[in-house]
Amino acid sequence: MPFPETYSVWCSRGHSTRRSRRAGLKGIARALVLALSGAGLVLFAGCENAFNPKGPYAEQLIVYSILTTRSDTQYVRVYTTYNPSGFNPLDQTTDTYVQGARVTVGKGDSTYLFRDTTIARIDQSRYATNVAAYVAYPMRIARDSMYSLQVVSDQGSAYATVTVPGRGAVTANNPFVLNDPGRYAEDISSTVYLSPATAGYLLRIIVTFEYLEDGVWKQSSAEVPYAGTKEPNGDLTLNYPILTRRTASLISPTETVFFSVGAYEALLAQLQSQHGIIRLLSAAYVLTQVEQNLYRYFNIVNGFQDEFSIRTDQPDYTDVQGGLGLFGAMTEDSTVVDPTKYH
Amino acid sequence: MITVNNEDDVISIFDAWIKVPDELKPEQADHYVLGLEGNVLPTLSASFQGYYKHYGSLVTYNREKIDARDPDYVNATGEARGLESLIRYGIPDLDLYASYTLGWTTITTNGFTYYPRYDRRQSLNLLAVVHPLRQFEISLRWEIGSGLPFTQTMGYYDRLTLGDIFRGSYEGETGAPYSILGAKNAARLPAYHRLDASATYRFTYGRLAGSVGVNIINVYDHRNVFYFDRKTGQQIDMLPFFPTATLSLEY
Repeated sequence: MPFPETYSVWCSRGHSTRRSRRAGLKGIARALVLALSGAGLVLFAGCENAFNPKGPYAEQLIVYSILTTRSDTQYVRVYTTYNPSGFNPLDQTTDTYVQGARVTVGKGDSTYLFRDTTIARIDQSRYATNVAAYVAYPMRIARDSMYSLQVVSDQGSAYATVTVPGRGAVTANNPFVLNDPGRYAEDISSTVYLSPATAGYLLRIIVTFEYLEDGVWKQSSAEVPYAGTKEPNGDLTLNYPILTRRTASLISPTETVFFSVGAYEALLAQLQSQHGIIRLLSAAYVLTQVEQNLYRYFNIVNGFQDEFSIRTDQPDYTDVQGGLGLFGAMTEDSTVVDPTKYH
Repeated sequence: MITVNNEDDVISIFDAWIKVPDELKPEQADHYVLGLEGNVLPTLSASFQGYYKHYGSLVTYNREKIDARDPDYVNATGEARGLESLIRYGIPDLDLYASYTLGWTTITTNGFTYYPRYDRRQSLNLLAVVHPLRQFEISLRWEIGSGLPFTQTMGYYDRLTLGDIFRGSYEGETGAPYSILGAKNAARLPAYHRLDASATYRFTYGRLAGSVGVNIINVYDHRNVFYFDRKTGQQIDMLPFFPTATLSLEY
């Protein structure tokens, strides 16, 4: 911002008698007060506009779609940015979904045209309506393939591409530990095989068990924690696996993952206190692989998944050209074992 | 030491300091200064300086951080250049000072260059001290500084956190409001300016010496922004028109 123009004038040079000098100094003081006050008043009158940190607003498309092999139904959400008159974005209580858009996802020569649908909104405290989205069914995602997403609407157009990770694999190295953890000192070990397009992965172990209720055996399942943290009051907090960056090279694409046997024992103790005697039936090792767009986005919007970070900024990430949001992909592969068969 | 403020705050209300992380180089700069100073007339002196600083190592946010394996901070480089001047006019019972600075500062990190939050382009300070009587002093001080950089809010959107994506689904998520920021530090806060005035009369009475004075901060009650919360719109200003009277006695 350039300086406002201000002018000040002062005078008084040379010698003078004491009386006339005093009069001259009074004149100087008066002139100074007048000049500076005048400059101040000019500024006061001319620059007292309220500060507003908002820049010029231009509506943008927001596009979210995560292709997944978990299902043969794929979704695309399309809505817009908003700009409430004040500074509280929660003043926006109307969903800004975009209807009537042409939404397509293509792979090579084949193109899927998505149609309108609604999805139950998990939390309706802000928007009372369900989520308006676009859906394609049946649409089975091919692994190791590149897909392109195109949205054309009255509110603008957006485009993005993603490469779906290829097939992964997981090997249970010592499933017998799951059956009788007190007998072994080793942690639960698995080896995962990652596809070249995988930037990050998540390995979960889901145990299925049965318990006796009113004389009838019933089935249930629980996820195995990978670690336990002892709290200052002596309680044990169970930690579950989080999305992890790939460290395996393309040449040797395997990584070994360990789950704390102590944390597993703590889980079993919880289940036993809840259900009484339990019998382990099976364990599913589920490997989720994500490509780089989803990996980057997920970490950046979730505080880098870094509990020790001292950063307080909230950076953003998008791979959508012509808008914001995310076009990502993830795959799931699993191995089911019967731990009771291993000794 | 480095500050750990949120670089996206409109204005930082205080600076928290930490030591430079061990894995980074300490901050380092080369300074080049050329100055000229002297008396133009018996009553008029002037000082002019030009400077160029090359910051070979600064510590800034890691704009490429993705996950916990990446460091919060990385080394960056920077440049500062500018001019500083001071003119003083003094005759018996009157002193006038005028200082003016003009400067540019930039930081470059991961190939991206921006103005840091303390990059003030211009500042002007005027000070007049006059003694109408031997024991009586009137002073006026006016300062103005061009606006500091900040990043504008360009709108909002509901950003999905995908918190349940691996153990459930994301499609029904509403998301959390997210402020879309414009180009980093590409806008400027309003200029800061303020006029302060004071009048002091000194006296002695036997072994007692003292002074009585009147001071006015921000004579024309300009609203200088002290803090602005981007999320609520709350603005806190610096001191408004603020008159005070003082009496001090010594014996």
